[in-house]
Amino acid sequence: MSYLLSVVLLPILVGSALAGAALLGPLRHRAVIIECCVAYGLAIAFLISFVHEVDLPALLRQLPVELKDDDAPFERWHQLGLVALLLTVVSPALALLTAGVPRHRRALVIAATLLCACGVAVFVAFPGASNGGRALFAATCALSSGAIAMCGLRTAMCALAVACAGMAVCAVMTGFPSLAVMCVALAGTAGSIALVGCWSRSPRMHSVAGAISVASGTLLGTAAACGAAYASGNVPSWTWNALAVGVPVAGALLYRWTRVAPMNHAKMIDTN
Amino acid sequence: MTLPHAQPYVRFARLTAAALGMATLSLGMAAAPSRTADPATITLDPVHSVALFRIQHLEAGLFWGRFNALEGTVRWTMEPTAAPVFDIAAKIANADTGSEKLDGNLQGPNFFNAKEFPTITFKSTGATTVGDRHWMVKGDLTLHGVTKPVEVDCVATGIGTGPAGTKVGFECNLTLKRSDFGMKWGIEKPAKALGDEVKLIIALEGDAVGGTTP
Repeated sequence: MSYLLSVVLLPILVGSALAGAALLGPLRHRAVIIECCVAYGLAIAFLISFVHEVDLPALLRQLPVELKDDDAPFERWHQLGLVALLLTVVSPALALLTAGVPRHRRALVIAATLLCACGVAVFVAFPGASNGGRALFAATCALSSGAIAMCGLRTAMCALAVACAGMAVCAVMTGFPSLAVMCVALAGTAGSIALVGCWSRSPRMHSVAGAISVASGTLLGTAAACGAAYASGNVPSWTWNALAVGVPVAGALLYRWTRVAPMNHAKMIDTN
Repeated sequence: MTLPHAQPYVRFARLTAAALGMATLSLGMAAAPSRTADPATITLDPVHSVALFRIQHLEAGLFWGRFNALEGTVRWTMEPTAAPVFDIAAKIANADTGSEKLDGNLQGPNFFNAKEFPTITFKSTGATTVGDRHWMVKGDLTLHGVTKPVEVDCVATGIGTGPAGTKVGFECNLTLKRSDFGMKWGIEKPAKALGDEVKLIIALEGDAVGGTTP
């Protein structure tokens, strides 16, 4: 029980508390605060889950830190933790940067999306990573981020939750329980942020393009690449990418359709 | 026929020749290499070489699995007290628990991480003779990307004759803690799903080639 508390419930609580404080608190009208807190909440939830599931030395081993009496091996899937750690730094920085130059926000978000996608694909090497595999990894991150950027907060978080839940099922089927619990933690955090979003009357509800989309897309893409790299025969490797891209794209389409349909309906009433 | 006055010289010459001959012979014997047995190279027969492993599941039953088709060589003179030298490897892909799902789990990143560390190897570095054909073999075990010295209890189980020549068999026993090799999943998190201590019984059989008996 304490295992589930530390690996799943604690990350969800921390992530959703951060996002909830921004969405429901007195600063809910400050878009940059919401963006910072939601993106940071997602990344920190994944990171807390990673640290409790694996251990802190697994994360520190990848940093220029000297560890005493540490002879455990470096395993490439531990880079999941490193990506989450970097996102806890990059996403608030991106939120602050885009808030500072609103005129160039769109260009900055596109640049950050591409930079993060290419950065993780170049520096994070899971087993059997070929050039084609890296390109697919980058494309998955970029497409996922792009699709999430086209959603509202609740739709984006729901899409993230569904994609992560699907990946958790795949991870269980391929004998990778550690990835499964991290995905469950992220899905739970996203789901609870979506729930909190239902109560919030924040003006930022209709756009997550920026730090939130970059953090969500990069985490989804990295988890998908990791799952695909270690996948056994039970789950075809394309399933991971399909989940990471397909669910956010479906979310974006649904979001656009649900926003456009009432507008068309209103127009029809007007013309009649 | 020798002249009477020449007899002492002849005797001296004979004695000198005999002494020289004996000296040469003794020098020759000393210089000749002492005959020791050359070790035969025993190439493991994958069909008859397996490693069984045992681990406690949920603090209850002792679960057994095996690594099939071990590969490698053993160099041994076949003398009862001379220790064999092992260089053996097991492929993680050959893990066999009788359940395809469990085999996949074992090969996954939470356990052996076969994608990154596809083999387990053991190379002996020395040995202490315990009895006839029984040794405590020291060596380096590489498992999950970590190399550590271990001591393995080895017995030569027999020397027989097969269709391809001489067959030699060994059985080795070893108990290790998987956490020493960085395989920690299931020991404490999730709570005691699998034990830390793993018992290994390694059965080896191979065809001996070369070598001489003393």
